[in-house]
This record gives sequence, C-alpha cells and structure tokens, in this order.
Amino acid sequence: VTHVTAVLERDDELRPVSVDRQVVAAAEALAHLLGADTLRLRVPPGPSSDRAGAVLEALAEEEVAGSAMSARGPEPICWDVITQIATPVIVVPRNSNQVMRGVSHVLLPMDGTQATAAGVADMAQRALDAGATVVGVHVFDTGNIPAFWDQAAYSHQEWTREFARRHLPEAVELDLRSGRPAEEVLAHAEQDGVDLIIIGWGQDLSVGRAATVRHALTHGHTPVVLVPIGVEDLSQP
Amino acid sequence: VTQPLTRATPDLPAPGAGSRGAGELLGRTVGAVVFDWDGTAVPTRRASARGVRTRLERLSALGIHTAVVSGTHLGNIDGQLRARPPGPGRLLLGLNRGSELFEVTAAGPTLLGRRDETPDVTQQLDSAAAAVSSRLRAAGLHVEVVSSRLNRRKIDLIPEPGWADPPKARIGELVAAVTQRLGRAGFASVGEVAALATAVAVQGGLADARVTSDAKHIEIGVTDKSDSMRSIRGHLDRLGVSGELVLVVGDEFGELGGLPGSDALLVVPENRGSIAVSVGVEPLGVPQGVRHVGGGPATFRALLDEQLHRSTRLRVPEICDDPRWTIVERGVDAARHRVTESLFTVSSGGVGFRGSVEEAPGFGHPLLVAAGVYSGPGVTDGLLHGPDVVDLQLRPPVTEDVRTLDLRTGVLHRAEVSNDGDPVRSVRFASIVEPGVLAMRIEASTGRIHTHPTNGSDEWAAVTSPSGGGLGALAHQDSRRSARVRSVQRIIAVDGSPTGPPRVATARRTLARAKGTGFERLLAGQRSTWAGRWEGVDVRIPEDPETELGLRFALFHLWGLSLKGSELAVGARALTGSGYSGHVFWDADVFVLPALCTIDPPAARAVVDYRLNRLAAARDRARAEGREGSRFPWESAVDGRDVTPEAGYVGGEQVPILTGTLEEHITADVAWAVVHQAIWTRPGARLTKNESLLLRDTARYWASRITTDPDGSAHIRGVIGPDEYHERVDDNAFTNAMARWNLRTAAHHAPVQEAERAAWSALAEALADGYDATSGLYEQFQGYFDLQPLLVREIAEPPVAADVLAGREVIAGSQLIKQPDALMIHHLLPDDAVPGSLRHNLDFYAPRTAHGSSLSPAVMALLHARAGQPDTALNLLRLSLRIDLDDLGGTTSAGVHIGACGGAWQAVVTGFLGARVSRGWLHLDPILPSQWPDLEVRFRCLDRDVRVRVSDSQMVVNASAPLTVTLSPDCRYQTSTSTQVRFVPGGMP
Repeated sequence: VTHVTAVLERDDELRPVSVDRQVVAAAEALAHLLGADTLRLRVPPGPSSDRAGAVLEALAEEEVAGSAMSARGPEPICWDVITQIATPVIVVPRNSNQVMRGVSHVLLPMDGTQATAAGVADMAQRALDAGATVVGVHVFDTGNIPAFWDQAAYSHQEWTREFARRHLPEAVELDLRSGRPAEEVLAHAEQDGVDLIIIGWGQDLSVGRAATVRHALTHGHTPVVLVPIGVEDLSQP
Repeated sequence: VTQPLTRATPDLPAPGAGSRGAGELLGRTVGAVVFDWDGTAVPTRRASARGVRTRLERLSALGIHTAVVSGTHLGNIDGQLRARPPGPGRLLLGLNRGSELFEVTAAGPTLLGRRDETPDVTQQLDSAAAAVSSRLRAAGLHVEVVSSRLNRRKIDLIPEPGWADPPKARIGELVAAVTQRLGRAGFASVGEVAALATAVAVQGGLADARVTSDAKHIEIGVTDKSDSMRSIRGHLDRLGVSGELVLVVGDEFGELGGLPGSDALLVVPENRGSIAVSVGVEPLGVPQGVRHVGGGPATFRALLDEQLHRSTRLRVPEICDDPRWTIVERGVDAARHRVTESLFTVSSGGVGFRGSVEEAPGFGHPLLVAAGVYSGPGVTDGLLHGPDVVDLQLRPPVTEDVRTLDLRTGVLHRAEVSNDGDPVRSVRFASIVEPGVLAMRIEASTGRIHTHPTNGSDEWAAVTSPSGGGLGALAHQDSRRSARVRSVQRIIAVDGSPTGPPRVATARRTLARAKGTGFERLLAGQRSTWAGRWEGVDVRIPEDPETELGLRFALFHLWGLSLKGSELAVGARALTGSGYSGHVFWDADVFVLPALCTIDPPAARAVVDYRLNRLAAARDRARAEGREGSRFPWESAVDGRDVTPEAGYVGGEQVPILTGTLEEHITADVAWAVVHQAIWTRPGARLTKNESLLLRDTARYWASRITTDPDGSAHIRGVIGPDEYHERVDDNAFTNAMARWNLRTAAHHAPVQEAERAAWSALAEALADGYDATSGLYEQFQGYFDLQPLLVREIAEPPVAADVLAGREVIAGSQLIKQPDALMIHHLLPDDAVPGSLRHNLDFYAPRTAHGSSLSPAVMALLHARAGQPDTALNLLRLSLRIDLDDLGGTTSAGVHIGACGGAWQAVVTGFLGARVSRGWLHLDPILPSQWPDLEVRFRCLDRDVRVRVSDSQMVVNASAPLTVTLSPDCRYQTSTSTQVRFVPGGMP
C-alpha cells in the first residue's frame, strides 16, 4: 500500500481557510489520482532547513507515492522540499483560498520538450482515467516560437496535431498562447476554472529557471502537482 | 547496410563440385557482376562455358547486368561464351586489356568503343618489347615476343612446352618456375622484369605505360583492365547501378611475382563500394578489401546462382549508401516518424505513397494519395486517403532500424538493427517504368511477418468520395519461405479519378504489365530511368555536399510530380502528406512550375492544364463578383472554386482568413505561370489558343477590378499581397506590378480587338507600383512607410512566425513582413523593376523580413544572389533546404513543403546561375558563393538538356541541341563549349 503524505506545517489561523484543510484536501486529490491512501505528517516548529530535512527523510520512504504541502506561511518548507523530492508533490499556492473538491479540470503546461511530455504523461493519463478534462497549454515565446506559420488554418491544424501527438496523451486538447509562459499558464488556469495544474520540471529554482513553477506557487490560486523529471530525461530535446 | 560473407573458404563447395545448393556466399543482391574470364569464369579457354552462358542469360532476363573483363579478344571470349542475353540486363565485354568495349545482345556483339593503336604507339610498343627482350636475352634468358595484341605486346618469360598454356589452378607452380628461371638470369622476380619494362617503355616515349603480368608473360601496353572497369563503370552509372551494387569477381587480385595481380586493376576508385571477391588460388593472399573465397569457376557459378536464387526467393535487394545521394534515418523515434514518412514518400504517375514502415505502428500516418483526387469539393475536403496498401504486422515489432532513401534510384530501403541473423529488411519504390505502381518486398525470420492479402491472387481495395472521385489499389502478393527467412512481395497498381470511381479494369491492366515485367526488371528500369533523370537534371557542388544533398532531395520530390498527358494539381505538400488539404495555391504557379520547367517540362505543362481546365470556374467567380474575365481562387481543389477556409488561428488567436477574398495576385500569378512555361519550354514561346484565352480573361479581370481616379491614376484597393501580415491594403506593389504585367502581356498576345488592347495598355501605364524615385524604394503598399519601423531582429532571430510571437495587431502596425512582397517584382518581373533597384530594396526589406512563410528563404536566397551577395544567398538557401529535413516548422509530418523545394531549385538556377530565357535565348550570369569554387547545374531549357559548369574563371556550357546563350556585359567568366552553343555577349535581347 502506498500513500500520499499531507505535510502540515503551522496553520495560519488568520486566513479564511485553514491551510491544513487545503493540504489535506490536496493530498486526497493526489492520492485519488495515484490510487493511494493518505497520511498526515505534522511538522514540528524549528529552523526551516531542519524541518525540510526531516520532511524529506520522511517522504523518502518507499511507500510514499506523493506528498502535499502549502506555499503559505512565513517560512514554508515547500521551496526546499520540491527541489529535492523524488516523487510528485502537490503544492497549494500561496494565494489559494480554496479547498480542493476533487479534480475535474486539469491543465498541462507543455514546453515542447519530450522530457516534459514523458514526465507528466502518466499523471495526465491518471487524471483522464479519473474522468477529468485535461487540457494542454503551450505558450509561444522567443525561445520556442515556430519558424513558420504559413497559413492560419492549416498551420494551426498541422502544428497542433503534431504537437499533441508528440507530447500529449490522447483525448487531451491543446490550447496555444503567446507571451510569457508563466503568466499565460496562470491566465488560462484562472479563465477556465482549472482545479489542478500538472507540471513536469527539473527541480531547478535557480535564477532564470522554472518561472512557471515559481509564478504558479506565488501568484496563482490553483494547486500544482510538480512531477520531477530526471536528469537523463532532461537531456532529451 | 551490408552483410559480410556468410561462409568462409572451408564451407565453400570444392572446386568442380558444382554450385547447386551452394547456399549464400554473399548474402546480398547486387545489380551487376563484373568478372575476369580465364581462371574465374572458365578454367581454360577450351573448357565449356555453357554453365556461365545460361546463368548470364537468366541474370540478364532479371535485369542484372554482367560484364566480362579480359585481356583477350572478342573472338576468344564470344566464341567460348556464346551468350545472347535477352535483356534488360546488359552484357558488356571489356576486352583486349582495356582497349575495346563490346555489348552483347540477343543479336550478337556490338563494338561500343575502341582505343585504336596509332602508328606512334605501334612503334613505341614494338621498340619497348624488343628492347626488353633484348635485355633479357643478353642476361641469358630465352624469351619470346609471342603475339601482337591491340595496344600491347606480350613477352613470354617461360616459352617452354610444359608451360605453354598453364591452367590457373597451377598458378603457384608457375610463379615458382618463372621466378627460378628469372633467378638464373639475375632477376629476383617478375616484378623486377616489370620494372625494367616500365623504365624501357617510358624511355621510349610511353609516358603512361601499363606493364602487367600473369606470371607467364610480361605485357607492355597503353591500356589495362582498369580502363575496362572504368568504361563499364560509366555504363553502369547510366544504368543507375552504383558501386555498392557491383560484385567484382576475379582470380588474381593478390601479388604475383612482385606485381599486383591483374584483377587488382578491377578495383578502381570510380567503383567505390563494390564487393571484390577472389575465387583464385591466390598463393600470396589478397589485398585488403578483397574477399578471398577460392574455388575457381565453380565458386563463380555459385555466386551467379546465389543471385538467381535470391530472385526466386524474393529476397530484398541492396541499395546505394552513398552519402551524397541518400537520406538516412536511424532508430525508431515515434516523435519523428511522421516527419520521415513525409520525407520518404515515393511517388510516380501522380500517386504518392508515404514512407511509413510496413507494420504501420500507431504513431504512424500511412497514406496513399493521388494528385487532384479529393474527398469532396468543399473547403474542408482534403485529398482523398486511399486504401492502406502496405499494412502488415511484424511480431515482435522492430525496435531499431536504419531507413535509407536512395535519391539516385528512388528506392526506399529499411534494415533492422538486430543481433538476429535474419533481421527485417524491406525495399519499396514507386515505379517510373509503370507509373502508379508501387513495388515492395519485405523479409524477416520465418514466423515474424503476418499479412492480410492472399498469396497469388489480386486484391482490390477502393475508396470513393461523396463527390464522385475515387482511389483504388489492386495488390498482388507473393511470398516465399526458405529455411529461416520469409519474404513477401507486393506489386500494387493504383487508379484514381478526380471525378469518377476508380477503375479496377485499368488497375488490372497496369498490374498485369507490372507483374509481367517482374520486380527485378521493374527495379532495373527504376534504376536506369532515374539515372537518366539525374543525367539530365542535377546539381554538383563538390565542396558543399550537404547543400548538394538538400537540393537533390528537393529535386527528388519535384520529380515525384512527374506526370504526362494529364492535368496536375500541385497541392502545397505535393503527394507527401495530407497537409493544406492538398489545396493548390500560388506555390504551384510561381514556385513549383518554374522549377518543373527546368526539370520536367511535361509536368509543367500539366500544371498549366490544371489551371486551363478551371478557367470556366474562374469566369464564374468573376461574373458573380460583378467583374469581367476570370478570377482564379486563392485556394483551388477539384473544381476550381475557391476553397479557402474562412477562419483559423495565428498561434492561439482565432482570426478570420481573408486571403480567399483579398489575395488577388493569384490571378496574375496564374497568367504569369502560363507565359513563363511557354517561354522556358518552347522555342518560339507561342501560346496555345487556350493559354491565350486565359491571358485575355485574366487581363479583363484586372481591367474591371482596377479603379481610375479623377486624376487619371489607376489603383487596386483592398488586397492582400504576399506579405499576409498586412491585410486589406491599397496598391500593393506586387499585386499592381503583376496586374500591370498581365495587362501589358495580354495587350501584345491575347486575341482581342485593338480598342481593348489600347485600353489595357493605357490602364497598365496608369497603374501605380509604389516606386519612389527619391528614395529608390518600392513602397509595399500605400502607407507602409508610415508604419512602425520595426526590424525583425528586434523581436527574434529569423526565421520566425512574427505574428504568432508578437500578435497580429502589433505586426500589422509595423513594417515587419512575412515574406518578400515588393521584392517579388524583382524575382518574377525583373524587366519591369526599375533598373538597379534590387540591391537598395533588398537592403531595406531584408531586415524587415521575418521569413514567417516557408516560401520566403528560397526567394530571398535567389534575390541576394542576383544582388551580388552570394554568401548571404547561400545561408538562406541552406535554411530553405533544412525546412523539411530538420522539420524546422514542426509541420513536416503533414508533408514536404513542395513550394520551398521549387524555390530552392530556382535559387540555384535563376539565383546563382542567373539563368533566364528570352526570345528563345538562354541568358546566364553566374555568381558563386565563396564556399563554392565549383558548381555544375544540369537543367532543361527550350527543349534542350543544358549543362553549365562554373569554376574559377571558367564557364563551360553544353547543350543537347544548338542553343544561343547570352552573357551579361560584365560577365566575369571565360566561356567555352564542346557542343553547338553560341555565346552572345552584351546581355539579353
């Protein structure tokens, strides 16, 4: 039996919604997708590095299929944990005031790499199997803009069809946008009432990296499942 | 992928044991066998050659070519062999040690070439032979000059009765005896005598003396077997049989008495990749690269039997793997597979077979389509998808393979990378001997291939469209099993019709012919016909093989459009995919047709016929819009009505598509294409009646479309030019220039009354083209210069879909353009552009060009070349050539961008070579990039095959018929020709 661990830090009673309730609900949602049970892990007070170390040690157990935590609070440990953990983690963003009520509308931000596609494929399929609507979003920016867009109907049709076949599970539609990926992903999530974002990432929060993850956790309202992608996978184009 | 010899010498049949059941010696199927005679094919001159004769004749019937190389003369070889091959496989005889080449047909031998012995050579050879003999005799050695042969003299080193005619099986004893004899005279080896002979011959004036030895003789000559091999190589080139497909068999490759064996001369650099096998004794071993199997003539016959056996077992033949001619894909990459399906499409007779792997995995998109056969007349109806003719199953599936498209022969080959001794291998080609026929074979270990059709019967499958068109395929499958391998062969005849159901009777006739010809002969014809294509149309850039290969890839897919006697609807992805719904754009008229004029004029004619056959629809549209004449649709399909979609997406932004209503230059583009085709392909350039009517109707359209202001100026308002970033613009320079050309040309050539001519001429002169004499620039449209002066590098590195990146509104408000627009005047109508204005306009517009259209880089390459910037042009040409090979736009899975292919070829012919045609004369003005010291371009022009080779300061032009070539006044090349080409300096007439 595997389980998803709800990592509970000091609750912020001043907030309209209990952080604990949010994290537990997120853990249950992830556990539902993974076919796992849930467990609660209360983190005792202390320096954040100590707390993160203890949590990582606890989450390293073999039966831990995933975890849930919050980006809220004065010193959340999620930033330390998400960069080191080997299993999917669902993070309740700092600005979230909602408690998850299941997963019905999922957003998959896709950067166009095979690594990301491979990283989230399983989780996306689980969401589909659970009856959720899953939509991929790809944001064109200077780093990934297509060289050619010959004609509005056919180029869109051909480009999206091929992108979807390469990067998305069947039954996942693709939304194309242009601009800053971090902002456009959140905009889509807010506009379409998405209740879960699944992001494959390289667990690198250094400057210039993981802007979408950073932005989603600090400015978004929608819980985010972060799926670590191995170094070997990241080397794929 | 080559396979090593599967058996080493100990497993070979013993000499004289016969070849039946000898099994696989090579493990591969070749296209030609070149072999030595004495000791290789026959043990002695007196032996029966019946076994060789019957095998050669059977190989000939299969289309496998053979060639004998021997030092002796025709009487000896033909008298002993007496083969009368039925063809199509050719039998060549390279005789008299390189001095004569014969071809033997069912009617007997015919001399193809001879190097005659001149009196000087006679004297020099006699003198040399006499001098060497004299030196040897002086040393106490009795020798004889035993015979005089064409271009050589033989000195018998051991004129003793016991060694009068030694069999090759005794070669070791012979060498020992001769060496011993020479040693008594103070010579260490035959090689030392050969060195003496060479020195004497050179001293006597034979600078290129060829001194050889068979151990018994020293021969002094001016030719040797390498000359035979080169002559044969030349013939094999013309038959499309490259070195990798040639088996060379001899018995004397190894050193003999200090000299290379005589058959070592058969291994020439020109025959790169050939397989050399020695069946001789080879007492001192064989040179590196030669496989020694021994066994003498019996093994030679076994090698021939293996080829015959592989044919009857339907084994997969080899292809050329020359990197200058092949597109190679390694590994099974699900993400790239659909791209390679497009790249590896093979087409003939207007039918395209996508390059899907045989087992059609779920990530593939197999497709059979036919030009002009649509699933319906509507906007969303694309090319009709024909039945799946390749589908079969492989269990277990292939996990790694190498697929190779041999551009030289139009054959697609596949080989599984596996430790299994019998990997999956397959080959297929769209026959150009029987257009519309696909021939394929696949082999794998027994039990792995699972097929649906029944062996031996013909199975028909068809798809019809609701609008009445249809596409059907009649497939015949054969299968053979050997001990470990099962081979499956299918020959498939396709019939398609844009307006009616597919005709099984037609397909049956085609299939019957193809089956009667047989796979091997279809393949032989495929090789030779493709070789003929490349002989006439090709590019050779020795210092830039990547660009050369890219251009050959472009030519290959343009050749795929080859079609005679029918109209040709060239969709934006040709026959390589379902992209763009197979709709016909201006790509067909302006990018593909000019290329086809230089490649395959009948296909260019067929493109024109497609438009001519839809002139009535164009008239209907003009009438419906309250105009005169004919207006051609921006997107055209089965019936000539406009099938442009009304909405689409730029990135993720939904947008209305206005090109169907506003991109009107297509009407003049069609007229331009009709006239261009006449100018390039017909001496005299006369238009047919229907072509003249099209020219008249398109001019009438413009006359009714153009508005004249009170000041007398004429305008075309509310259009879209080639730069589709800016919509609903007034007086688009290109549209106006094309309309003006249309009116002017029609005024000269269309069948109308004088008053109408005069009106057209007046209107043409009143039409603004946006040229500003002060700035020297063409303004792309009214108000363009007032837009935000944005340069493309301010937003991204080109090529870039700027509208997707920055948004349509931003781009529409800027001077960024999708592709050349005003500059297209300089491309299509160079004589109408203000003289000297290209460079200045290029300097202005190039930094504003995003290349957001795949058509853009090639045209800009052409223009930069014409503007004297060949290095910039080369970079753009390379970009254009990588569009599909590297899937730069992410849409090659939907098919190859055939317009970019045509544009790239035009960039070479019109751009770098500066080729134009006017009044029946070809004009040339080459300019080469610094990375190309040499360029050779072969193309069709004015019903002639033309070859232009440019290197250093020289330009050599040859043509298949008398041709006048004009040169620029400042032409920097010295010209020469060996044919009836007349050079006229001073520019175009």
